[in-house]
Amino acid sequence: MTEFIVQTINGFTLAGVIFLVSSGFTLIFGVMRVTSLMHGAVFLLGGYVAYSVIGALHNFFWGLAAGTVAMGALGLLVERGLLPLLRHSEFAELLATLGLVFVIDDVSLAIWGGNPLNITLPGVLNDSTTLPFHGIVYPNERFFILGVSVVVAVALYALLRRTRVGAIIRAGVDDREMVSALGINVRVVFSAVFVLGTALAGFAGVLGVPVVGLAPGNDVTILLLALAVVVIGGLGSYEGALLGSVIIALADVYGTAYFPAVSYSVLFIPLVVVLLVRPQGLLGRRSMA
Amino acid sequence: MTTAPTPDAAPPPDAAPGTPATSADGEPPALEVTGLSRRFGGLFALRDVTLSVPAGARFGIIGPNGAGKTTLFNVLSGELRPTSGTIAMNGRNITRLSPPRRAALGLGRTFQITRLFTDLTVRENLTLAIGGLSRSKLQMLRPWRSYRSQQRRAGELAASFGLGDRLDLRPAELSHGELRELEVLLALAADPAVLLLDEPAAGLSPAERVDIQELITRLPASLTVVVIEHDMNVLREVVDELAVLHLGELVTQGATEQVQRDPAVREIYLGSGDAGSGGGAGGGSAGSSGAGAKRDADAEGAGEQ
Amino acid sequence: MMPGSDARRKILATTDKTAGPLAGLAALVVIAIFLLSGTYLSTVFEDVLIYAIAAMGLDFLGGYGGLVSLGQAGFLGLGAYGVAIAEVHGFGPWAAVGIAFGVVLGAAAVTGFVAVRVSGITYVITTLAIGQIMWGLSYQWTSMTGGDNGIPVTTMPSIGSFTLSNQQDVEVTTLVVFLVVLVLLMLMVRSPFGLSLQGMKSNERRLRALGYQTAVQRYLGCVVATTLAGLAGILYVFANFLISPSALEFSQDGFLVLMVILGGMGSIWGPVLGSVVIVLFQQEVSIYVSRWQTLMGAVFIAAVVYTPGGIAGLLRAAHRVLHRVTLGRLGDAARQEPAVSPASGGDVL
Repeated sequence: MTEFIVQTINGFTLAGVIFLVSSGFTLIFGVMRVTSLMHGAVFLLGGYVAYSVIGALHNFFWGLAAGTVAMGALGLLVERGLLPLLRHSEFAELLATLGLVFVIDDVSLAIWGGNPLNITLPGVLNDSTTLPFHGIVYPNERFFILGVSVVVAVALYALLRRTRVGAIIRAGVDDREMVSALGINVRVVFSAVFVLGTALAGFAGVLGVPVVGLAPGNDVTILLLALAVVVIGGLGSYEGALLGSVIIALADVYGTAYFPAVSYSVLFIPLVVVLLVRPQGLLGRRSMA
Repeated sequence: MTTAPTPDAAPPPDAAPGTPATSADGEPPALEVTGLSRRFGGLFALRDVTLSVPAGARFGIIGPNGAGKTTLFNVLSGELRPTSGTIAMNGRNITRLSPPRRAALGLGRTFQITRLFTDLTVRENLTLAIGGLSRSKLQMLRPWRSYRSQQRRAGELAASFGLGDRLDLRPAELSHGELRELEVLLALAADPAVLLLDEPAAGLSPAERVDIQELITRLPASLTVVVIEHDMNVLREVVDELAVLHLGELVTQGATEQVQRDPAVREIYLGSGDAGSGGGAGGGSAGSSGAGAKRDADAEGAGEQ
Repeated sequence: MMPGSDARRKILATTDKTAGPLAGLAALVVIAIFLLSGTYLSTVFEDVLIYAIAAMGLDFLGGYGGLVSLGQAGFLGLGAYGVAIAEVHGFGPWAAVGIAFGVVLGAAAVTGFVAVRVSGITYVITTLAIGQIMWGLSYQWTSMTGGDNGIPVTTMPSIGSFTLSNQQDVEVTTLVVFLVVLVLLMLMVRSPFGLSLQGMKSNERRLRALGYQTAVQRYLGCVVATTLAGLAGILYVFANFLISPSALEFSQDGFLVLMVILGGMGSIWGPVLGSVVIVLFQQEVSIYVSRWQTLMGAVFIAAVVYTPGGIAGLLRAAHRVLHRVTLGRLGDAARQEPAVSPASGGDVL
């Protein structure tokens, strides 16, 4: 029972991290129809950047900010520098971001090496708390990660639902022609969404280090988890990403704990089933073909 | 007159003196549409349409933009399922058949926005069209060029439309008029019994329009031709029977001259500013009707998923 | 058009027709020399041919039919693990090959339905997920697959003195299988079925209106593509004496797509060229350039951006330009050809 409770808390912590990554992925896809396969690599690179900044400044929060801003800047670079060369072909965009995965991974390997690294959270965050039931001792950093994820999720929700920018983004998901017909500068909206998406991935990459670690190969795992999340939740859907994150994260931790031989594979079976039966996802409205 | 005609299996009694709706010898009509409706969400794109197209007819379906013409076309060709109603071709119920099955039964169609195989040459386009109903289409190990009779037919078809020296070009290298001709040729290649033409003159210059009109007139007499148009001027010369759609409903069906004189029809056209006698409405509205068709296609794409 | 130009055009057309096969033959001779040279390069070219088989399969459905798989390495792994696991369970090498091929065919028959259901980006993601399921099993299902260490294969099939434990015999076998696949695919892309695959990529809606049940095209195309990946896997395990999860990794799926894109989609020679380039990158350039993956990624992005037709497209464009220059000299300037009409792969991109 104790084990199960711990796994469940782990699941929600992981869900928080995955949600941060997938919400960016799903926004980029929903608004721009770009399948950004580099999203996992951005996640990893964000963590690495933060690692170096923390090493230099000895402050976790500067690292968090640096990872986020750096990945936002990378997003801007890609969105302004590379995507315009691709003639709006969804397939070319997918391939070009795949090419970037190879580049980013290799550069990261050159700078930060192949061994797993770690980021320690400061002060009280690095301690543990004994929970009032079953005497469970649980690390504070994970509660912190979960809390921050929730705050960001709420902020993102508010941005999408309560602000003019959010209204434009949502309109962009539903009907891109309408947005340009309204005289809104779609170029700016696209750049903003792409930057927001990659910055979220970088942010998650820093925040997620205590949960998923900081090592080569994590990028693919995270990319695939994000893909599973947004496909199951419906590409382009915020609520879908939220629901999908919880489903996938819980499936991952329970699977790893109880069915270690097949836990990874089992994650992708629902993804395949959803794609075959309901390609627009559980909460998605539009098909993505 | 804007109320829908009651669904009626028998040919409409007002179906034009002079042009038999159903031939007297009891041969079934080439196309018979009964009580056909198609809803998108809460909107009726088609409501209770009943039509009968006699075999060998030159039949026009006309209506202003948004009348439901393209929806009707897509339902007839099988790309959209009707919400209710039936479609029969030569007496056989085809309501539930997929586009390829309908094609196999002799239904050919063209597309308003030219839909060619843009990566392939004219010869390859025609070969695909000719092979669509042959058993050779799943042959994997024999070159398609070695099917002599099909290749001869491709050459003949191209030559008959003056495209004989264009066989090795790709669509991007053809003129707009040639593309429209190739569009029709692809539909003709499989020797259909019924040919549906979706706004064949859309976006063409006046001279090219005449070419398309001639092309339609030259089609074999045994072929039943159904043409959709929003511009009455294109149709007047080439069809002998007309059906008028407005807001998804059938307004009237009958001989061309008779329909043109119909006050209800005049009102629809004059009222919507798309005068039946004026040719000026062509360009601009052709564009917007193209957009409408695109939206139809999107809706149907989502439906298919 | 000048009266004499037709005859000249005919001569040009004949040289065109012979140029391709001649170049191919020359390439084959070069490959065969390297392959059978018994040097280090012979194992490199063995890998080239094995990956070329999988890449050609990928291109058959992707480049011709428009359904690009990002899970092809998973099926390569399936073929390889099929042999290895069967041998672990006491089957003889020939039986193991038979079992592996049966498993691959079965998997292909099931995967075919995926191709029937989804298109475009959705197909890419679905196949990626399927590939990852395979990788996950190979990595985590330790009792069956040996986990990270993989399974060594020690018993090789043999006929008389011809045995796959002999390096040279493996090379000959690989070359023969490669050639058979190459010829079969060349026949297929020229067949009515191959033409209909191209029609499907170009305009599926039209193809259906012409009477093609395109589900059949999708299904058969996917079965061919998947089977070739599995076949490559069976060869892989005998060439490497080992199969481990690293052969099924996401990056391997990526490499196969890279081969097709870089070489040229929608051409049978393209993936072979791509395989030569990528394998040389992996095994040769990596010796001299430590950041070879960065270089490869950059080259790949450049290919996606600037030459959607890949190397094959570039060669074709160069040939066309050459052709035009020659024709121009013949005084036939009337014939207009687009300077660089996108090679058939262009429209996907």
